[in-house]
Amino acid sequence: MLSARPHSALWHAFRQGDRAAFQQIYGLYARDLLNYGYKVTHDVPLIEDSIHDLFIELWQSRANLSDTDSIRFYLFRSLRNKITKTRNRDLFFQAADINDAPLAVDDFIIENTLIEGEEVQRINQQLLKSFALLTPRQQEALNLRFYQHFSNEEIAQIMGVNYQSACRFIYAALKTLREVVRILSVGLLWVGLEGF
Amino acid sequence: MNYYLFNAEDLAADDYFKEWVCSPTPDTDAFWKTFLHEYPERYYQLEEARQLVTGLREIQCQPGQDASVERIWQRIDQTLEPAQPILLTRQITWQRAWQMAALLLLILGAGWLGMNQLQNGKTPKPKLAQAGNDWVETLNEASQSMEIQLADGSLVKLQQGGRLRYRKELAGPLREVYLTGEAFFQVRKNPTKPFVVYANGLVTKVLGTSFRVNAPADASIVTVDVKTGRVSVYANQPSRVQDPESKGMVLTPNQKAVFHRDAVTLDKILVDSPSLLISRRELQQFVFEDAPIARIFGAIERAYGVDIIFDEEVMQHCTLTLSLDDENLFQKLDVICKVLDAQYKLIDAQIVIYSKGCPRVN
Repeated sequence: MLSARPHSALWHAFRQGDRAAFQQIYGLYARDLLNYGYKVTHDVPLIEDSIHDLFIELWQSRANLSDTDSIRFYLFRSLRNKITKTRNRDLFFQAADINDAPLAVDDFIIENTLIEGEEVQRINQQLLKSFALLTPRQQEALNLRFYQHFSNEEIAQIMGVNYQSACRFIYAALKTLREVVRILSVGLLWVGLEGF
Repeated sequence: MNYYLFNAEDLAADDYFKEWVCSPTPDTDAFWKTFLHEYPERYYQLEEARQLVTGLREIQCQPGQDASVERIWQRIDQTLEPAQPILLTRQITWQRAWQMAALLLLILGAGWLGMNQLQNGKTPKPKLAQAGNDWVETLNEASQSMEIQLADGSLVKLQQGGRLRYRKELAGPLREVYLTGEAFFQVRKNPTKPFVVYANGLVTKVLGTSFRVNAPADASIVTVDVKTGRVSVYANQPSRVQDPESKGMVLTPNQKAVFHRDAVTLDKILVDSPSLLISRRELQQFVFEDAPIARIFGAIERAYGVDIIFDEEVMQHCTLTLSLDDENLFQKLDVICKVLDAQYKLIDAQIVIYSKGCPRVN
């Protein structure tokens, strides 16, 4: 999961115009891009349109891409640019700022494959609720950091903010979420002790 | 780094710590175990931070993405459709060679089955090519057109070199097919399930009608002309701001849409030789003797389903004697204009008559 890069052979084949390789590259990143898209906006058609355009452009400019391009970083940054551009354009028509609309809790589902135990699940549920109360930018930064595993520098560039701001988003968000973990962890500790 | 002073959020924000939680290595494992061994009182900070990192990763998972991933790919694939011929000239890998051989075998098999049925004097329906997947692709490599019957009973006459991709069962809310090349469609009516043809960036949507789509793989123009019914055409540019269909146009019989792929423009014109939309018997009733031009134009409008625009006031004294037979519409207009000393132009599938009027006859 950590910054998966396509094999250089795959990347090379794609640049030569191999559609199958292109599809594999799409398969590598589509899920993560969608996931990230949900953090930037709640507008699913907009996300899908943007991803569509992004890959069309990628295909069309394949001849100009270099061997060492950090494709993953490029895709995330372009996706965000596309979404915000369209959104800003739409704001002329729609008064409401989507940026300020908090995401609904119901839109997330916890995947429990890796964690076990009801307590851990409860902590994550709680974490999820608190996560939904964070500002959209904090949510986005956390997604880029803990799900997509970008470095703080990359996050700053993708989000189009300076390095300090990116760090601030992450740190402030972690501080808020930590309260959830702290209180519940104490509960977990007690449950753990009762076991003895 | 002095991790002793780090609280939970500091740790969660730390690259080295996060890396250990997400993908531990013997080295990092050893480091953090040693750390805990030395400072057992930092256990809760560490545990909380670990919970934050793993929890944050877990809760970001989104459900139901596979469908979206697949759907977007379909769209990308479709947008890139014209790039296919370039692909074919590419070096052929073994895997591809097998795929092509399999496809060829399928086509040959389907052709053989079709031939067999023809020879047996049974219904001349070509057998649908079988495929493991829902989607079936038919390429007409024969020197003549080929008829394909779809699951809903609609008929597609695929011209030479044409390529049609469709679902065997036409599953889903739409009856969707993808076309490269030229084909004539006779669509079985089904108002609840529109029939949609995607061809080189142009979408043609109908409920039940007959029309022709011509989308050569390497040409920059796609045309759709309508024989019967109504057809909606629009550029395949999914947009969130408005329904792309609302930017398209509706075609009626004898109208033709010309789509320029590069400029993404859509023009409506008349087909090259409009056909009569009324029966010949009906046509025979259109005999005019010294009739006002408005009546004659009205009859032509009905017979060919075209719009004729003229200034009724200016032409109020124009009269003609003629009968409408099944000769070419444009020849007829030529004759009328010659007699009346007028001119006509075709603008957006409408016939506009320019006339200075006729002298009043007493």
